[in-house]
Amino acid sequence: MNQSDNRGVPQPGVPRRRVLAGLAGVGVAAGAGSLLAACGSSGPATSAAGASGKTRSGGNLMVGLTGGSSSDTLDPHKGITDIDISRIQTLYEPLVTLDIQAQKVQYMLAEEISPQNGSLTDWVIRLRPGVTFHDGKPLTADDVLFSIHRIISLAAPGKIFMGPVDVNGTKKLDSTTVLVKLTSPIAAYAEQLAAAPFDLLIAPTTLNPAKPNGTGAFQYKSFTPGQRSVFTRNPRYWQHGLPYADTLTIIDFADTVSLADALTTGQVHAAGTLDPPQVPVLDNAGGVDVVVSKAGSIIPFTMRVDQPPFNDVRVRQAMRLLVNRPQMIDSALDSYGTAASDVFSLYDPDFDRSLVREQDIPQAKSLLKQAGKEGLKVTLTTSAVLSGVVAMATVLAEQAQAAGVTISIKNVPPGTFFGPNYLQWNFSQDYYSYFPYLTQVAQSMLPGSPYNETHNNDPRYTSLYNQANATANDGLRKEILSEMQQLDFNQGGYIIPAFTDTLDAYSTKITGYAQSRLGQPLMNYGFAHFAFTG
Amino acid sequence: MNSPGAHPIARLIRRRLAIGVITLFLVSVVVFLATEVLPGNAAYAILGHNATPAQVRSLEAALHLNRGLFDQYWVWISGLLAGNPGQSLANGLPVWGYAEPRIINSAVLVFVAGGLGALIGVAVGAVAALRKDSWFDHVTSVIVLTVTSLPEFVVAIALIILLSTVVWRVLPAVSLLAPGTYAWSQPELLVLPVATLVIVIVPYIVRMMRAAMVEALESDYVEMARLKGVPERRVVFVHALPNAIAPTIQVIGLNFLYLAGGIVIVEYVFNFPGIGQALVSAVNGRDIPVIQFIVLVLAAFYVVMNIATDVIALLATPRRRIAR
Repeated sequence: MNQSDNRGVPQPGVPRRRVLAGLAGVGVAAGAGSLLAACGSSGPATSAAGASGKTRSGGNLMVGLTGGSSSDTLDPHKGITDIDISRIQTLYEPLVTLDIQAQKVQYMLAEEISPQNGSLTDWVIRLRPGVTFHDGKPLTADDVLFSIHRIISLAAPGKIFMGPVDVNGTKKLDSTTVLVKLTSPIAAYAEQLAAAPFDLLIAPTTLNPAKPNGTGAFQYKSFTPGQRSVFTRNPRYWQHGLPYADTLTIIDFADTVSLADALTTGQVHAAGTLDPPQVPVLDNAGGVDVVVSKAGSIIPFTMRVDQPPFNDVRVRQAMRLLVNRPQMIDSALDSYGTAASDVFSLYDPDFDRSLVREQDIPQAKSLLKQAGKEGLKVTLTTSAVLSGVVAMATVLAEQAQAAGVTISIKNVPPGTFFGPNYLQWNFSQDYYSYFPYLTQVAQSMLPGSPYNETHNNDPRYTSLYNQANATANDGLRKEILSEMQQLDFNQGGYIIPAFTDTLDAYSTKITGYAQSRLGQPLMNYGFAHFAFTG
Repeated sequence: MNSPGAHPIARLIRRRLAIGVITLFLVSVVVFLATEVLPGNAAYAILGHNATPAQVRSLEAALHLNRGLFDQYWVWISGLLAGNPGQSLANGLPVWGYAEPRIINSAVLVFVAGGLGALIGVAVGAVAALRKDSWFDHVTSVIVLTVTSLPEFVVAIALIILLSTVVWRVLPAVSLLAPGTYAWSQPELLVLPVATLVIVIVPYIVRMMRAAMVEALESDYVEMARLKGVPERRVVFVHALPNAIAPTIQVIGLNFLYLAGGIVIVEYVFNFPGIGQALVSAVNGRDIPVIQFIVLVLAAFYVVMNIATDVIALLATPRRRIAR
């Protein structure tokens, strides 16, 4: 069977936000026979993890997730929560996605993305032939252009991932080829697009949100926001042999306890967005397989580098030095995490593993003294927006005492947290699923970034970012990224104690799932690959 | 009914209904203001972490949240009085279509649990009184006392562990009703939520019934009936029970009122698609039309239930029916 038993490495958290990030590792042919690669098209690489036992086609797959509400949507460009993404990423598809090992670009609706005449500002996207929408309409360049324009005009989250698009210069070259023109170069454009497939879904020009019509493995049947959605198999799906199930029902759950119970009693077959307390319970229940994925997700503490006291880099470094990372993981994340050293993008090929930071209280105290901030008192704004967030804040406050720092916790409801003060808090937290390095920087480390919690504005850093994007040479780019990571490590406003795990659980009645490094639930919503056994 | 007591009762009902309408109006104003005071609004709630200032402003305009308080309230109340409770801010769907199946589902929970609880409570309380100081009475007292001290969600979770996930796996742990289906179409999904609610309310009814029954059984007229040689069965059912029932009706009524609010927790634990869940979700989402509508439905239920309880208690107490 394909499910790997990852129980050995406890990792926590299920970073949901940006969760969408991550690409649908739909390309992975999780077990269940080798039908995937069969039909002709050069579909996503099937890293089939070995033979899976008997599987059959058909069945009604029931999936449960938390985090939904009556604002649930099926609009491909307005998804916000995990459960939104689980739906829209099933109905619609992106041009490219990252594989679940977070290493390679997988081509979905695009067959090739290459620079026109070597120019890093002109990218030619050639579409996969023979793909149709659920209503039979063929996928064309017009649909891609429509989606690009819509994302820009809605100022949807996908806008940042598309890069600086020159709308006037972006046009179709023929019915299956699009030229995307950028106002400044991006060397690894396919990788950047692949970093956030959930935000870059391709919708038809005839898009009607009330009647979803995408290219995905399942098609729309019914939807009640806050309760459930029902989809049926797409008989025209371009990945022949997929999906296995006849219908897919995604159900909203109010909390993870009732979700885990539903899995135990067989009312759902797959449960994502689980919390650490459910793991031992599910482990003991019969007929359930818990899958812990060591994802590259993060829950950073964010310090405003433009406001006292954190505008003094010595204070920032002191805060980072007082953290006992292994203890934070054990206490706040129930051991479901791997120690991090304030630098993000663990699985980026250019990730600098030499940057390691451990707790050093004497140094922290010394730095605070130099900065004249002994006995520092700060307020940390936290919120139960995700499992582990508040716990981490509480543990940090405990640990800070050793360095003479007093952190008072202000725990606000999620509605307030994401209210008018979001991205303005002096000292707070946030969460991200896995993003490759440059994409994470684009989201949160530049003056124009949509999620610049720390209000980072370092001309050298921004210049390096632009240089990296303009550099086609991998070796040179690696050096630039190395310098950027040094800056993150030495003077950034994030405290990243851990890379958090993703917790999923499945009924033993199904197969086809695997671990994913991307941070999204349920193998990046790889429902098309889940099959019933026997 | 043509006894002289009919008119005072009809008058009572009319007067109480009139007060009830005023109450509903005041409730709607207070809830509206309270929701406005909460930080954030529906636009922020919908956008979540995508809530950049530009997005928020644009969505606020689309949802008409940038109008004055009085305007917003007036638009809502005039729509309601015309029969249109408006649309959900969260998803644009009509409030009535969203709320109606949930109201019915919650009503099923409330009335089935309330009815069962009343029957069981009255029966057990009466038997405990009849067998006062017997083992049955003592055991019942202890159980009742213990259960009263348990919070609702503890009872719910204990039942789930006992009957659903750990000890025996005979009942579903979650009440996953498909949208558009009504609660009675899948009765097995109702068993645990109803059982939880029944367990929570029965103790109060038992205690009241027992006390009232004991008092009735020790009264002069019962002693007189016994001395006259009336069969015990008749003594109990014709003389004692009707007199014990009046105060118990008040407690039963109170429990129905409690259920209207108390189902929130049960609906949450069992993922039951009722108005409790809908209200929590609407408050989190600052979805004013939905909040207002559900609160009004609950308030109307309170008003009607209060009137009904008082009227039934009155009817059960003949001497109060006569106009003075």
